[in-house]
Amino acid sequence: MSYARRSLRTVLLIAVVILFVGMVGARRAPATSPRQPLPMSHKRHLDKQMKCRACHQGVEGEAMASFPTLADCMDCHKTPQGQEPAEPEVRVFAARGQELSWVLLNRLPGHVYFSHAAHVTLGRVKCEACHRDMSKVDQAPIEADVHLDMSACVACHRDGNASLDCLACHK
Amino acid sequence: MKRDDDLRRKLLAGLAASAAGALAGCTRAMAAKSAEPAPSRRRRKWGMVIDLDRCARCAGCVVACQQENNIPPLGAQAAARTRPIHWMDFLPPASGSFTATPIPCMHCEDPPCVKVCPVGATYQNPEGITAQVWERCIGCRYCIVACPYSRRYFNWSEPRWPGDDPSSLNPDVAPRPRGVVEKCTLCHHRIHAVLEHARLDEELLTDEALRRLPACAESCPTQAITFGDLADPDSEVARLAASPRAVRLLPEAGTRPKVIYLRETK
Repeated sequence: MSYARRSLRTVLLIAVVILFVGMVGARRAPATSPRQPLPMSHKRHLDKQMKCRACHQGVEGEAMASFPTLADCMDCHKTPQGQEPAEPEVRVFAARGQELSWVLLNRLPGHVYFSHAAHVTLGRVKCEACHRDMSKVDQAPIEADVHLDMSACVACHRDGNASLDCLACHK
Repeated sequence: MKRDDDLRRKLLAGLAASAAGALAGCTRAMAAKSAEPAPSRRRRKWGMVIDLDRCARCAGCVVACQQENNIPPLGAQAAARTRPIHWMDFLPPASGSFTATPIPCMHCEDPPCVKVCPVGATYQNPEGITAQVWERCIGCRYCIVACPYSRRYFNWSEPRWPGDDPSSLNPDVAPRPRGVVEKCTLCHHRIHAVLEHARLDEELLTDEALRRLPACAESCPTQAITFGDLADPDSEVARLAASPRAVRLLPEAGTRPKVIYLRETK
């Protein structure tokens, strides 16, 4: 085998290895995205006519919409609810006395002030105006669903006759 | 592409919903407004009065401002070497009869800094605050030259925190990056918070809740600093501003400061 052929084969081999590693890495990527502590389905909860604020209690009076604590979940899940195989898991957390460590997915840029209370309570903006329709989401969310840029905020502020002062949102 | 379509659909739905909400909100707000007493209908004009006869020159306001607004501490050595940032500072001894006077941004009614900004990064907000949007600033420093009170500072370096630990920062104030100009905001984030809470609790904002609102006023042990709405004739700050002891810095500059000093003429 000539030298040129051998080096061509080496190059091809390296290329295949790099491609393989890349593909495996790409397939593995979702596994490294944040894992919620429970395989909680928004759809099942909303199908029971629950309101968003039942679990995200801060949404009406605070800047941040809070996550439900274990105690909030146990208000309903003290006794088994429905036939879902993963449903008893919440009581495993309760038996261990381990708080639910929900992973925050939607993060604001550091220079932006946003208040859920101002939008939901004072502005009467529906959750779906910024978030996706959670009644269709059957899995625990693992990626951010709010992809607003400033032009979207400004368009809504303009239509809703809300403040267009920079200081209303920039801090 | 699908995500774009989804987003557009969501946005349109959201806009329609919020427009309907806003319409309903407007009617409610108009009904509520007509029931409110007259002062709250007027546009607010934030201002501050600093009583130099009360001021003990303790510099508590300077420290409180640094802490509140995430202004990085430099330490004595670095401060001597470079240009330290003080949104609230004391005038140096060469300032004639105003020596050792606490001086924040004057929030002029006719601010020279706003006129020279080529990118609209600094502007006067509807309630009279001379604001600076850090993300928009290109760092040309025209405003620093234009300000007759030297109340603007350029960030020559990235902010550094003791032990490189930013966990003690005030989350309501964004740290400014290197290369932008920064200045006093009259603690706008605090005004924002009390206004929002008053609206959520459906209460009127009282003058008492505002008087010591900015960090400098809150920290002042002699209560020499009073904050409030200058457009409300019943407010403490408007009453003090009308005092015969009231003086303004550099009146000849024609800037009409909304930070007013009180002192007996000597």
